[in-house]
Amino acid sequence: MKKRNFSLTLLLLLFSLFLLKPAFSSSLDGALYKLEQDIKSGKSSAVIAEDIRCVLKVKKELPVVRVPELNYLTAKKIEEIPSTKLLFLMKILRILQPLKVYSLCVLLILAFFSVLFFFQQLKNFGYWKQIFVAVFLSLVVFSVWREEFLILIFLFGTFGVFLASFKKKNFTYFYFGMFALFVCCVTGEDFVQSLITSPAEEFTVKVGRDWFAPDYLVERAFDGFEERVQIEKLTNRVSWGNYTVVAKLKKFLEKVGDSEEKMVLLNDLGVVSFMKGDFGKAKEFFSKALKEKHNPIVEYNLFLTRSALLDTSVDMKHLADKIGNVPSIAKGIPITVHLYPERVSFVSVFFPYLVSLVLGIAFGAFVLRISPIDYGYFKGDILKVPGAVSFVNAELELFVVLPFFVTALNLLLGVLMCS
Amino acid sequence: MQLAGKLVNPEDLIDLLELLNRKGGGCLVLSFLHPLREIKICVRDGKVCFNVESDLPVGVYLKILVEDWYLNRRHPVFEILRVFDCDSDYCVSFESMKDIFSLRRLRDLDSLPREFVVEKAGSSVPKFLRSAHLIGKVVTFEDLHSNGISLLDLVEWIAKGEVIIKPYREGTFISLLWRFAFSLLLLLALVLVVLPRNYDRIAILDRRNEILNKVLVDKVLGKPVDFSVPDYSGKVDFDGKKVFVETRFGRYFVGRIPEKGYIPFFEVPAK
Repeated sequence: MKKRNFSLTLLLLLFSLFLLKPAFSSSLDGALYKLEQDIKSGKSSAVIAEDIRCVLKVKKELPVVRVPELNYLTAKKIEEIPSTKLLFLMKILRILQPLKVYSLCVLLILAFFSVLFFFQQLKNFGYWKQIFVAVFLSLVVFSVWREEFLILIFLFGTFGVFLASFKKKNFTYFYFGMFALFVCCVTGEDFVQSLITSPAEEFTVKVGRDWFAPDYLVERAFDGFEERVQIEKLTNRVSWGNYTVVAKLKKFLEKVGDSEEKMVLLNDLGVVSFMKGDFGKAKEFFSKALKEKHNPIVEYNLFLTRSALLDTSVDMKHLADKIGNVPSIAKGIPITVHLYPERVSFVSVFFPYLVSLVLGIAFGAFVLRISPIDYGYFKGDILKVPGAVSFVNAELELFVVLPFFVTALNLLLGVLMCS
Repeated sequence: MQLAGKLVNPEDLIDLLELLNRKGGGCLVLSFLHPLREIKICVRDGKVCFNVESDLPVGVYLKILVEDWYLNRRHPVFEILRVFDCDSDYCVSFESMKDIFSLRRLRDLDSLPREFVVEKAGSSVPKFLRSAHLIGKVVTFEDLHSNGISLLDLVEWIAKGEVIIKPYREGTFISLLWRFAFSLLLLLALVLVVLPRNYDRIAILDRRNEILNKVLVDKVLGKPVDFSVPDYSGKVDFDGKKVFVETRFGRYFVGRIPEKGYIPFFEVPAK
């Protein structure tokens, strides 16, 4: 009776296990693809819930930290998504705005009077003087409208030379101080925007957060480096538990000459062997990878494998500390190593602005040299232009306070209309 | 202690010199900007001495300086010197000094046209005015000053009938129309700066990857791309490859949607 009961219990257990066993796909990409197809074909919420459970279950066994697609596909908060450095970069962009607007406003007002006073000092130019002023000021307005900061920096460089020729020391120092601030803000803003929108940076942030990246992002990040694109795509597949790529990994290993790429491929093969339970092979691959290029993650993987082979001399805690902030370290599984693309450099962003600045100042100096100028001469009617009296008397108050109000208004409107 | 400051009206100088005289005398330097000019004035025992660097006679130079101060609304800077140090040949009594800097006289200049043609120039007036009359040249205040002729003297000659002038309105550097046009350009530039286009662009940039992710979700699920920008007043515009956002301040390019390689994984970090 006891034996019969035991057999029945075992049968029921096996049956229930069979019934309850979800249709887990073996890899994360397979599981997610199934979820997408089920949502697309309008499957019931129970099926969708099962698909989600399947994705999460597969993910648990892999060196992948999170699958944010779950949140987007289901419009629910399934995965906890931490903020990245993109948030910090956006904060920098916001901080730069008032500084940029203030310096731009100071430069606009001072440049306006510099142009006006400079050209009216020219001898024997008749109406051309007004035409010159109109052309320069229109260029300034156009550049502000289109946000063509390269042209604007060129013009401000030229007008700065005009202003310096008036020998108003406090204005000249103030102008060039604001000019330096403006160039810093514009360069900083451009650099941060380039970082935020650069595929290389997006890839780096994505891999740092989730430990894999979509194929299209890999292609964009490594644009022009076809070999690296292929290796990174294969590495991602290994991260997703898609072990059908072994043949391709081996084929690539024969092709590549770069030691870093070899190390990544050997590590991938080691991860696949480990996950398949072939620890001896895994140890061999990880050892070879380390010989190609030292990497703390590969070292961790090797010791993890030795640990699996019951080598008790391994201090895993020490190794885990050594490789630092790798998100899937807690899972006790080997980790894939990623290649990283070349990122945007500050120099490449700053250089065009520097050239524009130097050219602007040189052009200003050239104009100053060839122009027949009657220094200090001005006709009284120019004083009817609002603010001209303050400019003539080198009174800074107006040029300090007015930009402050413009900046405050811009910030206020920004908060009210664009938050 | 060294005293320094700014003077608005020429009559302020009279008050300052009176104060110095009451204190037993002293010297000050008066500096004008654009163009840079400096004069040293010393006062003691009711006598005022002027030290200037100019080829013109000091009296004429002073008149021109004060006229320029009054007409061009200059605000010269003064600095009272610690030591009494003034070697000048041109000294006048306190009353004559008051006459030079008096606003009452300077107000006569308001009625003079800034540009004029000389219709009559008697033999006692300077050669410049006579030749201007002969050739019909348009004369400006600046021409007179650069030829060492004071406007106050011109007013006197006009009063005596030795000179007759006729206003000439053309040829100013900045007529009302140009003044309006230039000021409008500056105003336009400032309005463009005030408009929160920068914050609008940042708001879209902040939501850039979220928008792209949503477009990709719709592509993955085979739905038409049609949604507004999350938590913002902007409409997503998708032409099949490129994503744009239209806000009240402009149309922004958000990003390019890949033709392949976005299934099953597509997400890029939004924040």
